[in-house]
Amino acid sequence: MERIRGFISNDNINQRNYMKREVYKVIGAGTLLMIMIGIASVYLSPLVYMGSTALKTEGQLSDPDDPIIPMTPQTYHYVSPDVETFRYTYRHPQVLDYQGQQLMVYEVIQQGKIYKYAFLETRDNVSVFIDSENPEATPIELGIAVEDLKPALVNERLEVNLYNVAYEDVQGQFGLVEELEGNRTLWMNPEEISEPPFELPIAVSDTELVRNEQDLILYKVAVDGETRELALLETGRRGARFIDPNNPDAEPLELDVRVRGLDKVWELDPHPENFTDAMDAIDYFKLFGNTLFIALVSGLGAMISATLVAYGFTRFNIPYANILFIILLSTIVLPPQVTQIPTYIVYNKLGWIGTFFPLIVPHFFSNAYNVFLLRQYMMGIPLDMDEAARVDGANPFQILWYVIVPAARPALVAVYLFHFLFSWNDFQQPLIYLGGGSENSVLAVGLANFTRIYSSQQNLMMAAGILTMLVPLAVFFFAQRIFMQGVVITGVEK
Amino acid sequence: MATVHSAPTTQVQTPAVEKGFKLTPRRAQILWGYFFLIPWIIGFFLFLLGPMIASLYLSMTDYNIQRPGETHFIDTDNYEKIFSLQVIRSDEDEVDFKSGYTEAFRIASLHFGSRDHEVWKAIQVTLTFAVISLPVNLGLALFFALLTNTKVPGVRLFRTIYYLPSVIPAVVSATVFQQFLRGQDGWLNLYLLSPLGLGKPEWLQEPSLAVPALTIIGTWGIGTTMLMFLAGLQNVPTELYEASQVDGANYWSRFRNVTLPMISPVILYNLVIGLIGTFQYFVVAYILTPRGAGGNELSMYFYNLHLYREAYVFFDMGYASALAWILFIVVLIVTILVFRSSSRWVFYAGGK
Repeated sequence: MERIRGFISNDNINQRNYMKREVYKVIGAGTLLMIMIGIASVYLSPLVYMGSTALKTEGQLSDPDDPIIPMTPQTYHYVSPDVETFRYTYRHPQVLDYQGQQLMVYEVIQQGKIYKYAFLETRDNVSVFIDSENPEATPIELGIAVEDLKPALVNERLEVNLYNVAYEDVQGQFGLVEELEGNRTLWMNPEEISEPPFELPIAVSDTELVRNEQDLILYKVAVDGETRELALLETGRRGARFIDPNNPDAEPLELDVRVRGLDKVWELDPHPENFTDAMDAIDYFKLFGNTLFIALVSGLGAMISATLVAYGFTRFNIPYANILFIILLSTIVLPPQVTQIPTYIVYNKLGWIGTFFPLIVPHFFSNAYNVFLLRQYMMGIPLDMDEAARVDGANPFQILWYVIVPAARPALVAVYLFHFLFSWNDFQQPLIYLGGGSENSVLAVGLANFTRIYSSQQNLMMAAGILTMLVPLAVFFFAQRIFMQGVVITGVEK
Repeated sequence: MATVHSAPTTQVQTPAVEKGFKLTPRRAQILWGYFFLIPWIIGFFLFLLGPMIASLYLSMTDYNIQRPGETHFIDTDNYEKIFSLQVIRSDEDEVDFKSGYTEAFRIASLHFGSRDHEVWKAIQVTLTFAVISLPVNLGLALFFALLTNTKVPGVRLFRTIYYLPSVIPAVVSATVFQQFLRGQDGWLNLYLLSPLGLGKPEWLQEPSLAVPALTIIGTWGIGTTMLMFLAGLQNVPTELYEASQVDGANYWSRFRNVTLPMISPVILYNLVIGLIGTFQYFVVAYILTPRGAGGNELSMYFYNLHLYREAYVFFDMGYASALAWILFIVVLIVTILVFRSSSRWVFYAGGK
């Protein structure tokens, strides 16, 4: 109340300054928050890339307009009102329509000329013909048997409609040549135009006209001030022709727009099957099992040995403890490469190359980082508890098990998790000891091989990458606090 | 469990070593202490000291694991091979001083080469990377730590976010960045650099961009460094800030005169750990240049890649041991130099 009154009356300078400071604080925090969000989004953008690429198909990735989220352009299934036709030259015997009769036309050669006469009837061994070019004239009588004549053929130019035909094992798009009597039809195959037409015992009503069908990509087009989703039919020299999906039977819209500048209508289309494909490609479960086994077992070794050594350093007041500890720490500076080659030769002699032993056994002999972390933590555990246990007659193992281990549990868990992650993420050691091949290896090496072999299939690569980092991420999220505290203990506190 | 552990309580107090000499409780304690150090002591001799001596010996032989029978003691020839660096050609004279030597690098008009064709290139790449990437990483980690050491709502979430990439396996981050940094359609170029008018550099193809590209990838591993800085920042007593505020110091001078000196021990720690890590840089370069071939013009050929190839591709383990020892000595010297210099710039609040 006091403050508000002060603010309203504007006469209390202190109160005004207070308000000012509050406002600055909020603005400052807001700016800082924006900066942090901005940095975080840039910093983690490769992860976003990874996730989205893993869910796309290669087709989606090759689309130059490919958006960040896995999407495909929405299409409209367009059935044109026009019927599909086919230009066909139908070659068949000529028939003359004469006074309600269908007469076959024959080629008759007379005086070196070919006449096309339609055969009417046979009268007293004489054939009667009608001149097909002049049917009104009097019939011509000739002493030739019809059997000796060649039927006249005509080329009829047709534009046949295509139908989807399915009759027994005859299937396809055929052109309708003629409807015959008795529910029979004559068809031609557009793919084999030199073959004669064939007859099928079906009616036209049993088939379906072939329409011009296609999937048209939908675009967002501004028409008369409003944005409409239109399907692009074709691009012309100026503008383009669109179909309105809401009114497909109308004439296509001619619009004067540049198609390249238009936005497509996108539709969410993730492809999680990439993950199963990647799993099959790298023999995921086997490599996963190998990695998990190595990480779990060597982690156990690292934790147990570090606990024993740290316990030895902190609880027994042994002479030269400091010098020994400095020697232990200075081994951090020694590059592993120095010791790796002789140990490799020894492992080779032992027949351990290609087995998990080189990746597990050395961790049972403690390492400087872990001992350091545990020593720092154990030094913080009060001595009176183990004093009390000793008075009660506990031996050092019992003190370790019943006093130190429960008290140092967070640090032990941290050591185990650190080692687990180190082992899971390690690449160089498995590469050297298990070889570069994928079989019987660990996930990191498997992924590296996969990356090399499938370098053109980014989507599978990213899916495999996600599958490789799944466990470290899960461990991190579930044990975040232990983790971050562990880092800090090793690093700074004395 | 209970029955197993309740039994031995009667025969405790002294371990079972009670024989020749008098085992006072103090001596027993010392013996127990050393007993618990056994894993480390065995490990030290078996996996450190022994191999170190063996490696030193190997470095003076031409041992090849595929031809162990033909091994000779060749004295310091492996080391001479590494250090056989000399001017092999000069542009001005256009004379080959040493034929048969391959050029490693060039300074002005002088061409240098050595008997090992690649080692000096590898040294050059490694040192360039250390000089560029270490300051970037330390600076960025400190910046992240300063950001997340503020009192903004949700700051813990940001700590997690900034730390997150550090738990991602290096193989995975190399794989992601291989795509992310592509020239034409990599996201960095497509969504960040190109809109800012910076063009579309070929990060992984262009030799001069190799080290910057690897530095970018390296920023994904700064989480631990950041947490160290953060812990250091949180240990700075607030009275110091309040006192400097009373003196009218602005943010920058507070940072320079209070924060930096107070966290200088952490900087030293991160610098040393970072140096050791940089000299052993391997995974990302191995993945990005298939099987560690080194990339265009060997622009990503790190010392450790060279060592790996000599040892496990060509199985030239004698020479590789010499390379490893040189690496060790360099790391040791650099570390000692950093520690020596630290008395001038590292400030210990305890007065040590």
